[in-house]
Amino acid sequence: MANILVIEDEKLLLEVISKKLALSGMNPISCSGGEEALDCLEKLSVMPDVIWLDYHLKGMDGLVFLEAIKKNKKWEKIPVVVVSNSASSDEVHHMLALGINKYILKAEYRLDQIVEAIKEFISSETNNEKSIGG
Amino acid sequence: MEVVSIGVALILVLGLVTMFIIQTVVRQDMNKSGEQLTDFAINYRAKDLEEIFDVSKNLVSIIASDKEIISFLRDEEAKKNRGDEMNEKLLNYNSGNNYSAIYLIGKDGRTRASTDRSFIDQDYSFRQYFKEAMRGENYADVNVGVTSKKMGYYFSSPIKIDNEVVGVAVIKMNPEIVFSFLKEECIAALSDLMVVDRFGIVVGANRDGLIFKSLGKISQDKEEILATEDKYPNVMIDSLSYQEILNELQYIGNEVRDFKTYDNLNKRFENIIVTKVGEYNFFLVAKIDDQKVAFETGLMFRKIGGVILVIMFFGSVLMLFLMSSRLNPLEQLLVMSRKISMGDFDYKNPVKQKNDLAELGETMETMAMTIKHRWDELEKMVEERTEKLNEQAKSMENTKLAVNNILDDVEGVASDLEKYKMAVDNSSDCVVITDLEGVVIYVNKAVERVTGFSTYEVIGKKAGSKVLWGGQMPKEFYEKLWKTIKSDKKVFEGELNNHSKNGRPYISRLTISPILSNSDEVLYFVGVERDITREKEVDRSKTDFIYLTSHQLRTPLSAMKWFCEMLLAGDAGELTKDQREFVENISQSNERMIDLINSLLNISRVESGRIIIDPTPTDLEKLVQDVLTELDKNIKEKKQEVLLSVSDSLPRVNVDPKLIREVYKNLLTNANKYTQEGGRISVIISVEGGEVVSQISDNGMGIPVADQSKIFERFFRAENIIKLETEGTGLGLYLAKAIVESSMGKIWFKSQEKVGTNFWFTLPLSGVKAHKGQVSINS
Repeated sequence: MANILVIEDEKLLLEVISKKLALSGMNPISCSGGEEALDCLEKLSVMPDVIWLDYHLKGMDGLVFLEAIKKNKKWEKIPVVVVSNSASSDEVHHMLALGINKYILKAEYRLDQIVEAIKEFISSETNNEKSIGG
Repeated sequence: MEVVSIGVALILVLGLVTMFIIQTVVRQDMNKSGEQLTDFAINYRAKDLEEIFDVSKNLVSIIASDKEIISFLRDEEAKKNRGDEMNEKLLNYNSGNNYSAIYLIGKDGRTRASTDRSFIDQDYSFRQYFKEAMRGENYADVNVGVTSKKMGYYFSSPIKIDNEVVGVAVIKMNPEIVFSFLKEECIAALSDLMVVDRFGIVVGANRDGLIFKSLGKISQDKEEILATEDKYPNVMIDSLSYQEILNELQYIGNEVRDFKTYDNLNKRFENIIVTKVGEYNFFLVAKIDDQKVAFETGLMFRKIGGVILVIMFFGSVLMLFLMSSRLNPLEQLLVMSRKISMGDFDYKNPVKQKNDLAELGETMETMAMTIKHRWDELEKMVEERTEKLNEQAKSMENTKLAVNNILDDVEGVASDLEKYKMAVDNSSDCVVITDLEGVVIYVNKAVERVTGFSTYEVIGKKAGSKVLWGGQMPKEFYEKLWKTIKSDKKVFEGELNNHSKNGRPYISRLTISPILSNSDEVLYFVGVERDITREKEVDRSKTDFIYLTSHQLRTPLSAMKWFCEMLLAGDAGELTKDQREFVENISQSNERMIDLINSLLNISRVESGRIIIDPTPTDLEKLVQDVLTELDKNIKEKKQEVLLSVSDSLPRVNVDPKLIREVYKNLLTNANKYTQEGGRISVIISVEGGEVVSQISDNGMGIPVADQSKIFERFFRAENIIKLETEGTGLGLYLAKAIVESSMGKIWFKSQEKVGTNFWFTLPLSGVKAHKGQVSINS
């Protein structure tokens, strides 16, 4: 089962996302901020398959978090899907430059659409893991 | 008539003056000239008297030469009886009864014949006149007749036969002839006029009392002669007091002699004038009375004066008469001249006579005509001048007004200059004026406020240098700045970082304008700098606000969206039919809200100019197809026919596809929404001139005419579509217009209610300029 690290500071959204991911057969790891997420990553024995990142976060914002994981060799290859309310072009370009895999505007997408997009990143990874593992 | 009066008066005055002068002169000269006058007169009287005597003398000569008388005397003896006959004959010679007797005396002295018969045979041989005649001479004498006892003037003439005197013819002239002659008033100044004989005895006078008086005492010898001659028998001869004259008498000739004698009786001097009467032995003696002369002179003068006055009177009348014939025309000419002077230049020459006055009149008429002509010209000229003057006055008035305006303006200018100075001095922007080298010559107050450097510190230093507030930008920036303003002589605009005196960094928007002379030479530079640090902060706040708003609104909207989705997906268990319907309604409203937020965000982005315009070569046909694909579900629902026609010559156009997509999407969404089922929608993209023209048409419900002017307004929705479709933000067309215009295009439409709507929008074929904004559409 794929592990999805969900970083979302809005409690309701975190809840609905986690529920949807669970219902979709995935294992959501819910974090409500950047620092918490970094802690999680430190503690996790198994690296998450995909990171669901809300860009606008209270405290450490998405960009700082992104820069942090990209500096960490263990984490830098984890696919990151940014799901946010808004972002300026510069920021989007900056994020893409930092290696995010997808940028999704929250209100424009249904959950199942986002879940489908995430599945694209985890299937191969999972497959790879399986193949490696298998 | 004044002229006449003056003329008459003049004549009178002249007359009176003349009279006065005459009187004065006459009075002065009267004594002298009076004498001369009387001398002259006496001389004449003497001559007159001589003539009287001559008549008698001639008559007696004629008688003496009468042949019958001569023969009578020759044959006296023989023809005694012819005496009566002769007497009758002599009477014939006394035609005028001037002679008392005409008689013939024989050489014996006896009268032979006589008109007075008493003389006949009388012996007159003692008479001097006989004696003288017998000597062959004519003679005149005065005697008192011995026969008649009457005084007479005797004129005798010898009767000759062969030079032998045979007798004497005598006529005795009536003395009254002489008396009356003397009494004739010749000279009024004469008091006495007398005829005296050779003895000085008065034999004729103008008054009777003088007769037979002698001028003086008659000498003895003379008395004897008188006695011998028996000249004045029985006559008492009294003496007058003119002895001197008597003594002189024998020396007096035909010249006039004046004597001054003293009148003892009247105790005064008398002037006596004496002259001889021709060759006769008679003297004319005149006594001149001085007073009488004076009186007579006065009388004469008065007479002269009277004559003068009469002459003057008649002269005046004559003048009046003469002048009236001249004056009437003169008067007429006077009237004419008055009329002319009063402006009646048409007054015709009133003088009908043909004379110099008529000529004058004609001349005056001509003159008047000339004056009239000149007058008319003058009037015309005056009229013109007046008009000009009025115009000038008007223009003066205008000028005055203009001047007043200018004065007002000047005051205004002065105050304007003051205003401008104050405006510049107090402008919130920094105003810096420098010379060609950038050395500061003026700064306004804002400079100190913004930079912290006082005016004193700034003047004379190089503007924007490191020692002042500048020098924070790269070298290239300043090079470009100087090139623009100094070499290119153009306005430089830019933003730059500065720092104040106390080190505060700030951002400036700078404009530097070169001020050029008429010959395009740079005189100095005017820099206007605005501290836009706060603007920049506000800008950032605005951006933050949009982010915040979009985030804050989108987060709950997303939650709602996703929870609805899960409910509808049955993630919370199967929903009943009603539950599903309700959740779907919630979901739809949520979607509308999300749309609204998106639209507002987009508008905000476009309006603020912060939107990124990132042109890329775009296939508009594909762009439209994508939009149609997106709308496919809705189009199919309404079974609408869609036509897409793109010009073959349409190249890829350099536009921002995200933005232009939004335009097509809005227009096609509207077409879909507001066109009935089975309606037709068409998109035609063509190239016209330098533009790409996109036409989006439908045969739908159209836009009511009353609403057509408002459809591009924000939040506006037409009357008819509100009734039909409650959804819609009223922001679609507003956004489309904002995008088209930001892409240098135009958008317009034609619509008829219940017929359909055509929208057109253009894009430059050459493409759209990139705009480095901060936000993109739909982000």
